[in-house]
Amino acid sequence: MMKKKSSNILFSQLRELILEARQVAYRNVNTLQVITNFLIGKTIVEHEQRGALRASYGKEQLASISRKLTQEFGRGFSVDNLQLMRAFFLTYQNRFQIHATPISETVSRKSQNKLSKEFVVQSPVRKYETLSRISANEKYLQKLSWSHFVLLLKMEEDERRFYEIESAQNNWSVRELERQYNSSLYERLILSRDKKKVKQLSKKGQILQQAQDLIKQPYILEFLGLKEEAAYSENELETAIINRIEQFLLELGKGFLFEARQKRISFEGEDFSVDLVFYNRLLHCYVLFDLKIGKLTHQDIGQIYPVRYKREA
Amino acid sequence: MKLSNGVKMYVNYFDRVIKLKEENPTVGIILCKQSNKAVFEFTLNDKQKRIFAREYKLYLPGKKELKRQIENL
Repeated sequence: MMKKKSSNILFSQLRELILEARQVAYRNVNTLQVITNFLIGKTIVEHEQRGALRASYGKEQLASISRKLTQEFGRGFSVDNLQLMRAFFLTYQNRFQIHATPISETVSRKSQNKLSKEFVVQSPVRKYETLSRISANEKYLQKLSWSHFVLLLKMEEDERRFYEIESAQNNWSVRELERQYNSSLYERLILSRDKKKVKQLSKKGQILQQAQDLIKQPYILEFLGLKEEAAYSENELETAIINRIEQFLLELGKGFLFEARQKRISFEGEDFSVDLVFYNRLLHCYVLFDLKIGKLTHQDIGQIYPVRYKREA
Repeated sequence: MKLSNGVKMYVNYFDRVIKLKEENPTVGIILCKQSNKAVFEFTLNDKQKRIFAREYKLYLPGKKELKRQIENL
């Protein structure tokens, strides 16, 4: 017995070590990929500016470069991808910092490029060391992977800033970011806020200060897989939510914890139950959900309905 | 019909019985297929703004439609 237990402990300790190492490695690979693609984009743009790649000739040249790169390095260097890297550099050039390098053998020069005038840019890029000398002005950008950026590049400036912040803060996977974007989270938050607060979204992300900040209009529950026209009961809706609780929590937003379904409360000798009970740890408050499959009526807000009637209806 | 019950009652109950002193007031959300602003505001009369009626959709919304709504704000 004892032996087994201690071997279990050893196993889980080793497992943790390995997982941690992998995570670090994964993160480093990701960062390296982002930085390399940034530099690839930068190099292409600089070439264009020198007139080396122009119009249709430029396109051809990019295609031939893409073929060669693919031949040598495998996937990831299609013309589309190279164009993405170019767009990546153009969009983020002011937000990644290229530090002056102390390596004496490389020729440093003040960049003539107005957009990066504050930094001494080393050119051409030859050394791995250069890569580590690039950092993001805004720290949170470092948490995002290349796939995050590919998605972000599709967006307009304000909403991109919002999704950058939220992805980094909430550790959204690419899939989660994609879902939030496809569900138009940004637009929905705008629709449920007053104008003053809308600007904040692209500067600070979603900030929870009061009850209203928790709310979106509308809530999107596409992940439940329920059909719009199909008949389903409130109970079925609730069960579907519980079965997809992770997605529902993602939809609710930050800080939500799930406590109970059909939580019973007794009041003046009668039993009631609350459909879904959540807690928001950022706002330090309970958030109670009442599900209605139909149109909102006075009764939903106002009338007492003991649990035995409610569920049979 | 007593108007001060329903979701309002749950919220009040949580505030009085379950909530700790240092916690913030409970929030109630009625998640419904179709909301009704007039009904909601008339019935609720919630000055503290912590009970909400919001619609849910079972499909991803069209971005264009939402953008149009934003422009019309």
